[in-house]
Amino acid sequence: MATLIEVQELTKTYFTRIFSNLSLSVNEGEALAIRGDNGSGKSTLLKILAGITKPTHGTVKCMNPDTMIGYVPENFPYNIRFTAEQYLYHMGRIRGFSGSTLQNRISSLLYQFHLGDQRTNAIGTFSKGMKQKVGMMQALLEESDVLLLDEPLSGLDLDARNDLESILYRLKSDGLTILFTCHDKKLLNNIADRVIVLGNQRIQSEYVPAKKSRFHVKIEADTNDQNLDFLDEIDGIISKKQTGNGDLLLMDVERSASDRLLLTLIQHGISIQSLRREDEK
Amino acid sequence: MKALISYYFLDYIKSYRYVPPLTIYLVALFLNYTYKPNPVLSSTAVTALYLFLLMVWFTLSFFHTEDPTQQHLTILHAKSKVKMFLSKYMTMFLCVIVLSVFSVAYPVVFGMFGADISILKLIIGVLNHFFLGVLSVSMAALFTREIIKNPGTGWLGVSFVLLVSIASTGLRHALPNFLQWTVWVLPPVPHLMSLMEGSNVASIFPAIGFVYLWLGGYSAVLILLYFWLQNRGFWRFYDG
Repeated sequence: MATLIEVQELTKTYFTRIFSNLSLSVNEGEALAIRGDNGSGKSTLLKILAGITKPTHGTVKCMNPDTMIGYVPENFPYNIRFTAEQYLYHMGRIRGFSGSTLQNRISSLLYQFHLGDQRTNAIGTFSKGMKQKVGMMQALLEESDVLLLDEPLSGLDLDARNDLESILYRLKSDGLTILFTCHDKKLLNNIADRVIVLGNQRIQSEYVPAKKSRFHVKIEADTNDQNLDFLDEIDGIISKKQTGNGDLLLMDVERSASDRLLLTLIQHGISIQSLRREDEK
Repeated sequence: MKALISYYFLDYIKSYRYVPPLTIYLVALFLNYTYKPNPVLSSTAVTALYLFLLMVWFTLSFFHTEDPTQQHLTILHAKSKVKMFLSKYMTMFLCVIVLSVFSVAYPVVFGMFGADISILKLIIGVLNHFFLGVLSVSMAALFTREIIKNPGTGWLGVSFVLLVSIASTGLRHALPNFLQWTVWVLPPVPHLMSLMEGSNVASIFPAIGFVYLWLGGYSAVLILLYFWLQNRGFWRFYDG
């Protein structure tokens, strides 16, 4: 993997020294997690990478000067008085997008983040998870190369955590480079390719997390001559084909969608022939 | 810049933080024109002074309307901190223009001025409001959270400067001779007020031009000072 960001001998002093001579490189397409105790400088490091805070010493170099970096703060800003659509529109206009380009981009983001039906609702009425999604969407308004997330799952309930985790996994699969600070072990194991631990003003350790195996489900079913058009509206189908005279249906399905899909197949009169777990490499 | 101004303007409108200063200003303006006829120059000078006082309130509330975290994000989207803060100034200056025109248009529409009304006097009336409003915005911005972290200290500081600048003429007489020059450092508000005491336009030229230049230059220096103070590392707020 090519290096995307090179951090060299970074020092930040703010009343006291937060960290000193910190060097690291971020590779293209990798998910790098930053761990550490409170006050170890995780958020400060992200702010420096985002360009919000200046380092006391040291440099941050993007190998490609056109690298686009999106930043998602730990807590979504308080007191936003716009609807999700208006907010994203204003941020996009400030970024220099034309109105029509922006409308398409916002619609696509709202769909991706499952907030399409909330577009005209005031952000003030949103749950913390929904606000976090809006925070991620503003960072992705321009096709970013790098996404910086400060404690993305902090304070979210289990459903919102799972939802955001699957969105992050999809973004990572799409090739986005992700840097995030995190305490959540599940997120570290599922998303991070590499973890660095900050402490005592330096990088204390670096490791590759033990990956939890990810798998999908292979389904074989007898169509019983039923119309299969309803399958086009179901998310989570990786591939599907019909063999023989069209009466045998073979499908690869994401783990998260398999239960729902099996139920729908049975409700449409289709007989399940076999199920098999397929581990992802 | 246009997108930033439009965003800030809408955000401020939706915040309703403008309601108290605007209400007080309008009440003061209407009270000022309770009786008629009113001399154009001196009465517009008085309402310009009201605007000078109340634009401080507008500015402090406006500069603090955006959430600090959102301000980070706005700077990142605008790709320039200077552009972002300049657009805040521009939004306030647009408010000053609207209030300046309204402050002179209101007594004209309702026939509150006397027979001495003329186009030139009305233009001077609008300019009085505009220059004092711009001065007020430039001065108040120096007491916002980017420069003074504690909001209480900011309010106290700006109130002190307001009082001193309005009372500077009297203050000059109270000071010993060797300290009287210090009054010239204060915002040149009393100079404009004393010029407006007469009703003859010819008598205030060309002095009024110099006072406007002084007010404009003074405001420009305050705005430059604001950006200079930020660049000197007054970034506590961002680094927090």
